[in-house]
Amino acid sequence: MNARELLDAYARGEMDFKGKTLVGIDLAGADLIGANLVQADLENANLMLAFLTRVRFRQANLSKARLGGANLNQADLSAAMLRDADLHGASLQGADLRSADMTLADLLDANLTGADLRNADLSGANLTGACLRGANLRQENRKYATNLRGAKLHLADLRGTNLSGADLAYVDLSGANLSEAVLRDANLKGANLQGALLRNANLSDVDLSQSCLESADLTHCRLPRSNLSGANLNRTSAKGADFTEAVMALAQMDDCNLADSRFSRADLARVNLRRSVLTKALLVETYLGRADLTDANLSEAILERAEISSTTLANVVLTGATMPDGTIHG
Amino acid sequence: MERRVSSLSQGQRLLAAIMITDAVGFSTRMSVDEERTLRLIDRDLTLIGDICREFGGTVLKSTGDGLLIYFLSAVEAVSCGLEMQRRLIELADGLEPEQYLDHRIGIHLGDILVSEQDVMGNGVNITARLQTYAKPRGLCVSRTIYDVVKARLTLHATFLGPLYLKNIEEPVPAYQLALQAEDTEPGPHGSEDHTCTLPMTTEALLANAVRALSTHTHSLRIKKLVFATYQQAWENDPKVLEQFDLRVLLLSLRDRYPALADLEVQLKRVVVGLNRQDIYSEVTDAILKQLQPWYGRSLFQNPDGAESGFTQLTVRSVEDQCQAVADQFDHSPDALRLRKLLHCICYGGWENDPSRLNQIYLPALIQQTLSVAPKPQDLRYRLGRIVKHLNRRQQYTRLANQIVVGFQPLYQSQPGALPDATALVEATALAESLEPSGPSGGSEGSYTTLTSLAGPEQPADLTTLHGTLSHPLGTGHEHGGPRRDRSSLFDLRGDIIQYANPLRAKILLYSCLHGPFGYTSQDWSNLNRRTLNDLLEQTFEYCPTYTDLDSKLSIIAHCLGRAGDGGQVASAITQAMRAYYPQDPNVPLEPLSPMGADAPSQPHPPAAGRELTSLGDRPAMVARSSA
Repeated sequence: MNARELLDAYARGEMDFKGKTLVGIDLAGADLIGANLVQADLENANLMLAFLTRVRFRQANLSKARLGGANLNQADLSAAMLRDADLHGASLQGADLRSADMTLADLLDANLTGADLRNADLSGANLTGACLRGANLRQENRKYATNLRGAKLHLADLRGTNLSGADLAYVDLSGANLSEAVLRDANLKGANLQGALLRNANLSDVDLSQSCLESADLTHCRLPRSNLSGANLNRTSAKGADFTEAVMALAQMDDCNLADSRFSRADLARVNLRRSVLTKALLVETYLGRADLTDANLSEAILERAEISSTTLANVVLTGATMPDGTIHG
Repeated sequence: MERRVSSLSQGQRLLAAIMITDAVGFSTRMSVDEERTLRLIDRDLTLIGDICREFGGTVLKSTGDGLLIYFLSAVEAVSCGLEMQRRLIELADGLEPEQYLDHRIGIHLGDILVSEQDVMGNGVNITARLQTYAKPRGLCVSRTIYDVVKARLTLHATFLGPLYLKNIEEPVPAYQLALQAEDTEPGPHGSEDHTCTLPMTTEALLANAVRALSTHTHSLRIKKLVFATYQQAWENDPKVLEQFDLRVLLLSLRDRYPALADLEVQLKRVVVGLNRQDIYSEVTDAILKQLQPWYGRSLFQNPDGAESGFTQLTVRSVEDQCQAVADQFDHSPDALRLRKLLHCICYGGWENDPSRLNQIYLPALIQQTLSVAPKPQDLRYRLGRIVKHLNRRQQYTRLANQIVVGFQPLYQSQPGALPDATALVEATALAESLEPSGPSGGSEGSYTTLTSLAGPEQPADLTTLHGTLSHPLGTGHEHGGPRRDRSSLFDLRGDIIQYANPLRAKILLYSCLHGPFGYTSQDWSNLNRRTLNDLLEQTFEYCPTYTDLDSKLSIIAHCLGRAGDGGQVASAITQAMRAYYPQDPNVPLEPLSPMGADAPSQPHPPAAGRELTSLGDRPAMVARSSA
């Protein structure tokens, strides 16, 4: 079946193209709204800027297909093969992408608002600038999780998405917006979150070891029990952030705004906190062994039962702070 | 050049400046003296062809008495058209009329499509229609062309307004271009304007005033102030202002405020609401000074009694016509939405409650719309402003057009010289006819104030009414509202991709920044390297003001044409980016209530917008501010 035959058939009102072999077909700009292309073989097909809303592509082969600018809103792409597909600037609002194989796909600036991405494989995919607001990436069980390993999510809009338990190790999330996102138990080891926005995000129990959060916005971010050892947090703005019981050994936290933040029972061994603002911070039972707090501002901070005997406190402001022994600093 | 033609003949599309020439009265001349006419046309077309080649144009075909030509540059096309007319006039110099032919030239920017035998395309059709609007020995060019060339060429242009061309769906705004400046100015005896049936001397005084005001150093501010006094809404966009003729605005104002002192009061009322009061006081003085001689003359020569009898008659026939239009609207599948739009024009607020909308007596609503918008361009302007702020813009644009078309017979039936005089009577009559059926109590103010248009004794009511009218249409809300921060563009991107395809949006922005996207592999690889975020940041840099952005994007959208789906994408982008532009210091004309005059810089209370938010078709601005 060639493009002409297919479009003629569609114009006659035929919708069923199930299982057809359409390898390399050129349907750029075509209107195939609502067609049934279940299990069709569209490898290498050209569907640039095509109108494909509500098309059923379930289990179709769209490997290396060109779908740039295509309108795939509410399309059924479940279990479709989209390996290496070009989806640059495609609109996939509310599309069903469950269990789709999107390995190495190019989703630059794609609109995935409200898309269902459960169990989808996005490893190595380019999601730079993509919008994933309200997308479903939730891990249902161990075997049914969205794979984003090695994906590029630079500048991606992930506000409010549920990425609990997602594997985001070494992912590029620089400049991404993760405000209000839920990342509980996620693996962000070595991830690049430079300049990312994480306001009010939930990162409890997350592995952020060796990650880069430089200049990120962590205002009111929740990070209890997270692992931030060796992470770079220089110049972050983390007012009111919650680091309770976090492991932060060797983390870099120079020039941060940590006013009103909480570090109770956290491990801050060998952490650099030079020039950081920790006014009214809660540091109950915090371990600060060999931490460097030179020029930090700890006025009105609470350091009850904190371990600071080996801490560098050169030039630290402690006005009104509650010291480990319970006394108020004069 | 040859290569271009051959590549075209393979059935390719090409974006070009299209020119069509046409000999005036050719068939008639042929019937009188076939041999000489043929000789003349042959000579003229040869000359036209030669000049065209001098300017890099390509002749595609001959229509018998004219040529179809395309240029790859709009500037070349217009310079060439002017040169053609100049040389043709030279040829005719000193000859008897039967010894030469006059020509009309139309130019438009559009796609041309060359099939085996013929040249086609919507652009060619538009050009052919535009050509008929050219004066003999003159040019008629679409605004797209004019906008592109105006900075580069010195032109004597007259704006014709949006033209409704036969078989062309959308109106095409166009300009007439003349060789000499005199041709464009309405001379004291200029009787070409058919709407003008006023005594010549009064008309000449008005023409003088208009000329003086439009060449004044503050001409734009003068127009803004006159427009604001007339429309009760502040408008800064020169493109919008351009669509309103100063002369017509002044005539309408004089109808409303028959004495110069009344006008002065109204102008000053607007000025107190402005932030640049000193400049605008000067502007007011300049306007009054220029209008004084004209106001010194009586407008009408017929005695008063005859006039009122005449208008009374029109009122009756207008009522019948309103009934007909109402029937037509009620039979439309979108009857309720049409009511919503008309209701918004008349009352300002957006009403979504079907039961309340259906209670309204539609013919009366239509009649009221006529008094609010006494001219077709007023109607278009008001509808345009409403539609701009709705979230279902496309749908409502279609409906707005339906209303404009539906209203055409009503406007045509109005006697040209007295449209506003009748409008006043209509309003009065309407106020009486509406009283029993209208919603009780609070809305009464709007009726009384409509009648007060006639006299200055209740000016406060009048302005309050129009204040609320213009309120949901955006002046206050938009400019008084908080501006968005450009450091994070996530919201902007979200707004854009919600209404436009992300790739098309990128193509449009890329074209705006780097020239039209050619779909070549080089273009694609350039686009792949840029994020939407990058392109938006660069666009902010490239377009320093909102007006700049709006015009640049609409021009490039026009150039990309259908393939780029440009129009809708461009409007989605401009709409979304608007909030990121700084507030224009010249803007804030607050609702002209007495309170507004005291504290003109105060932002609007949000309450007015909130009542709109809970329901379906809410204006987009409100939706965003609550987000």
